[in-house]
Amino acid sequence: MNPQSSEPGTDEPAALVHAHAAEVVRVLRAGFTWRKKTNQGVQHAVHRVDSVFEAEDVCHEAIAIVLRQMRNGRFDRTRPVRPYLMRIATNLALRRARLAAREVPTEVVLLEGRPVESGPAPDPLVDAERDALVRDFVGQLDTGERAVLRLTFEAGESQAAAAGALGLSRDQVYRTMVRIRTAALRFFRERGHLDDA
Amino acid sequence: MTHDDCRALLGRHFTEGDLSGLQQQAMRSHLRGCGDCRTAFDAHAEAEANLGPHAAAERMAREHAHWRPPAEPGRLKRRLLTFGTAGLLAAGLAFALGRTASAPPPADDEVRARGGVSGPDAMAWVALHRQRGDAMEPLGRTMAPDDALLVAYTNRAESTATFLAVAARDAAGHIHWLYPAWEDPAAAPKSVSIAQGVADEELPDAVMPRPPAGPLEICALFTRAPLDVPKVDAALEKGGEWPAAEAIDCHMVRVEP
Repeated sequence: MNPQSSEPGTDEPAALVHAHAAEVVRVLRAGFTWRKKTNQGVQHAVHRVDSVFEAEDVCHEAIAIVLRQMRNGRFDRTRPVRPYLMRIATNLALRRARLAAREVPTEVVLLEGRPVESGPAPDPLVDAERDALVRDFVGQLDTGERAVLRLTFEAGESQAAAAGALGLSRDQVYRTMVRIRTAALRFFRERGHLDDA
Repeated sequence: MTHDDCRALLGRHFTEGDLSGLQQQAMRSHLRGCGDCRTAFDAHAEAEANLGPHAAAERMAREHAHWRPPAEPGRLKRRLLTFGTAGLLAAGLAFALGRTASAPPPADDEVRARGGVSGPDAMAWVALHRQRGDAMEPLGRTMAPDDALLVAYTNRAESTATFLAVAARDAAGHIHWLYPAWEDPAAAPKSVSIAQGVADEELPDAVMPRPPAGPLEICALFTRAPLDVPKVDAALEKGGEWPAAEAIDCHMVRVEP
């Protein structure tokens, strides 16, 4: 596998992932509302995907479905992709939950496809601690690494664009990103944030 | 895949990001069924999120090329080789003509590369995996008769081969064609077209050759021109050698019930 090959602008799947994956995963993990019919009438339920892996897996499947619809000509490309993708992703999440739980609600209707921006209540102390750790980590990087981090992981620039902006080769940018990732895992593991890893 | 294997792949996946497609799929298969390792994945993802809002998208864009949906009954496209047609026709003809049965593969079960260039200078080779339910693992020295086999090829940029055929010779000397598919005895399939300058490119189907117990020699034939499968098959069924090719990568396994 060529780790450098999946840049936005090099192929349609990568472009879709870069444009929408983060939001899809966030919505699935934050929770979304759906309406189900029961013997007591219509009830609103919130479904949340707890696991990052599970949310990303659903996201991958949703993107694969959208791409297939695009290639089959069943999706009108003049329409925005985001709501269509979000509806597919939330339906998939519900379907996977039903398959796992072996129960079948009688109807699934999304309330205008709008997600509920809920999820666990933010904890100011935890967030402050995490922010301090991130600042410590970034402070340990050298100037070049910080520049690559800011352009790629923070701003979402492609490796090619970051290379152009910094006067580096694309391979240099890629290798710097690997160094940053490796250092980050080591940094957070040493501070107990990867206990289960 | 063991938990340790999965954790080792997770570390590489979140740093170098250089897992092959089959490695990613094997890891993902394991993660779908293992809560502990999924928790480890989540912990890596949470740490990665601290790098910035686009760090996960960069990794997911790399993953997507090799992502496959979870296996559900009937979802994985599998091909059962209709060995009974092509192989039996050839065997029956040989019997009718009074010829002896073709020679079985040698008992030697070491991996061999024949023809072309082998070792570190090899221009092309294959990696074989077997699939059992949701699990996928590298094909070792043994396999079960109902294992599904998956093939991923590497064809270096300097290679002159642009076609690939993969076939197996069983203990009775009969040939099973994995690629191309040969399901209609009246058809005349040819080698599949392959790309150059690629690594670990997976061929699409999981194939169940259902060979009999005993040694099975699986050979990948990399050629400049497509092979005429029925013609090659006829020669092999008579006990002939594998045809000349730019590169031949053979793997010996033992089929055990």
